[in-house]
Amino acid sequence: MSVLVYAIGQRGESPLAGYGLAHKPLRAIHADALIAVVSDQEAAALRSDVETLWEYQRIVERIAEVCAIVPARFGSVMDGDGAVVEMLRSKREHLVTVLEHTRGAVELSVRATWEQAPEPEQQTGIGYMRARLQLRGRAREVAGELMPLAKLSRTSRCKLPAGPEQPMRCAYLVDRELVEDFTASLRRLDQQLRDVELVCTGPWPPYSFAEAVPA
Amino acid sequence: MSTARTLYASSEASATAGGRVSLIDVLDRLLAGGAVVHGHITLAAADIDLVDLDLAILLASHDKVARG
Repeated sequence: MSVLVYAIGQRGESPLAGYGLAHKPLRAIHADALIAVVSDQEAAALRSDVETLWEYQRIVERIAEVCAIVPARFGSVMDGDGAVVEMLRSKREHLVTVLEHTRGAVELSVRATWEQAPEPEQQTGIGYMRARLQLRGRAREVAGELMPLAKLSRTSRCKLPAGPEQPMRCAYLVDRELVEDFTASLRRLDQQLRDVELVCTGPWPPYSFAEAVPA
Repeated sequence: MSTARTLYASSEASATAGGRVSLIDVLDRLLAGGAVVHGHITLAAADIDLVDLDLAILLASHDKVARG
């Protein structure tokens, strides 16, 4: 029987209860000090419609409420318990490092958009390219102006927008008790940044910090 | 850990776009983040793993799916 992996945690943290996708009960697969939280998965392929994504996110949130976890990427279907044990053993060092690095912290998302769409006559040729360059420059400036947020976090990453219609997306790993300080700092920054619209969401499980090796 | 929600938004306009904004955040995290525990991820219904996130966002804005 295939299994769907939701998250990896450490053994003995908290009893696991509840259901995964398709109302299959959640259970833990152990390998030494690590556990993978899984549910049985009948089809080899996972449905990837928006409702399933929401449901998956809610399940992972519920797991994160009871224990420190590294969330798995959506769609992690594996060929049975043995394959999961093997994965936990082979990635053990990385997973333990990430678990320690993210324990007690949550991920906060900040996206910044601004009035910068090129004028219609600039849509072709050099005008368009110039507008793109300006946007890129402004994105870098905004990233710099958001530095106080990075200082409140354990680590952070920002993706500059690929096009004028896209926001800049940043993720911050913040100690749980500093979340209010973070949003207060964001509010102060927002008052200084006239042309920027900011939206902050969270707290998320540490998705954006699951693969990066902490510095 | 409590449920992810909009913690701060510059304006009413960006706050009322909350459902969509949060969906973009979900796509950004679930499909581009998380631990890669498996070399090959198989998804049914739509090859979201192959679809650029931009397209997924476009899709989401059309669906206007709010958090249930």
